[in-house]
Amino acid sequence: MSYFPILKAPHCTGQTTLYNFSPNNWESTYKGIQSINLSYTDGIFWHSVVLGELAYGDCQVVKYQDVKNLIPGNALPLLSLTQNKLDKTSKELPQLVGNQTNVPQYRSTLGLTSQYTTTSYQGEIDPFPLKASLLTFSPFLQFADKVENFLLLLNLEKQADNREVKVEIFDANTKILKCEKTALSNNINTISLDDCGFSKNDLPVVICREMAAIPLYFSCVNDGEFLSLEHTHPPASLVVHGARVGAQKYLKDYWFSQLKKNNE
Amino acid sequence: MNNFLKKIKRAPWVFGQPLTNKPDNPKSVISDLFVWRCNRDWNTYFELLDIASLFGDDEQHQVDIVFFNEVGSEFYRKSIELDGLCRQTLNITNILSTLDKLPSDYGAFAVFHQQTPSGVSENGSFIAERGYVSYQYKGLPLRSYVHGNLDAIDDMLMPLGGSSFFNRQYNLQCLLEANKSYEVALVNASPSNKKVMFEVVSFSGKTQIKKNVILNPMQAFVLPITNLPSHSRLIIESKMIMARPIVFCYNKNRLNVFHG
Repeated sequence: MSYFPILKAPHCTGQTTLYNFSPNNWESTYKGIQSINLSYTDGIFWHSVVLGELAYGDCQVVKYQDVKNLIPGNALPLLSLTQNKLDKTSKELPQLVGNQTNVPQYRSTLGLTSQYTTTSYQGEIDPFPLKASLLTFSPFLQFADKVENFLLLLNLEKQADNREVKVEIFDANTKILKCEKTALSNNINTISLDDCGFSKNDLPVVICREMAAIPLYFSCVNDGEFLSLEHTHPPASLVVHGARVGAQKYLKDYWFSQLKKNNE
Repeated sequence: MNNFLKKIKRAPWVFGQPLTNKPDNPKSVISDLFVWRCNRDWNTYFELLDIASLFGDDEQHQVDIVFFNEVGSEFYRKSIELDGLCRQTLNITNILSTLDKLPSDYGAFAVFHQQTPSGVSENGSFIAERGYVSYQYKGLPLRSYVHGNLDAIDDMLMPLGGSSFFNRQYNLQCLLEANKSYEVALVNASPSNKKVMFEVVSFSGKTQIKKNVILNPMQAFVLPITNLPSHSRLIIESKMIMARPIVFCYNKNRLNVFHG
């Protein structure tokens, strides 16, 4: 069972739509009222509160404004839909007893809304292992007048602390380090890509050697008049069948060593 | 015991019914079936990554792009040289504009990489293009990106999507709002014709729209959803294992595109 974050991005506020119905009719799921929970970390402990209930077959939009007074200013709000009651305080991210499906995965709508429009994707997040890394190739930057491009790095781990890690952004062709930023675990980290000096023929490659994350790319025009949002795939998605994990390991080893070599 | 019963109950839905099939030829390459849309309102783009170069192979590489029309038949094929580790955004509309006349406003396309890195085939794996399409609507300043997700077809044009013994429902977990318009695109990635029922129902259970179609292999279909009297959701029923659509959401001339 996954968590459903409320996103944040410049010029926008986040809203997440939860669904209490299965995405298919053949995987076994619970068909009853479920609790809507809000979880967040203060950097030391996880905290959870019940926001309400959701009837079977129904959906619920939860906006950042609905929860902002319940969490610390910079905390990532995590929603969940469960049959169990979550501990009010815990050292580890609470285990969720709720519906889980595989074909497709049980999802919510993760949206960003400006004063003009909304962009969204169907998503969820499960905790990443502590010892994990990120490698992603990012052909999503858009170039036009008044366009801003951001990388939103979304991470969740079982431990409640907010570790600070280094995010390196290179040009894939020249292997030149274009910019270096920091990110926090258990957070959504906003990284501007416009000051990295990429042109439209450059392929950015984003790496984080100490933390895995979902890399979301967000572009907006004119303070949010138009919006675009999508995530890139992990490298394993470049191959199917066979030893896919081996391919991912090969790509990470290759790129991490290449990018290190050129910048040591 | 509970788990055993769950497995028994699940068996008719999973036994011999993989989401996708493995190609017969170990040297095959695989692609998703992406949706192209081209007319006066639509431009389609594709972000072409040189997968072999990403694996460290720095030779010159190519892809073949195969386009299918509104009934799933191939109507155009083009080879393209890759730019290595540079970003290469293909303007699909420009590629198709070289034709005298387009057979339709939309269809599917597949991208087949011509070189497989040795490390991939040695592991019993296949290169799969499941990358990124973007759509520009009415010349708006931002394109909307959507990623591929299915190993849908091999380079012999054999669809790889699995088929179900029974009809199954894909319940789109997306709130269809009454004040917005939508188009839902679905491609048949299975090797046989598929009857598909699209049903838009309100949250009180009332049917708002119902549409039955038969999709040929590689055929894309776009269902318009407009003038909803109340907030609703979409059910897609077919013998596809996972009839996952792309959703185009319109709100006052602004576009939001996402996968189901």
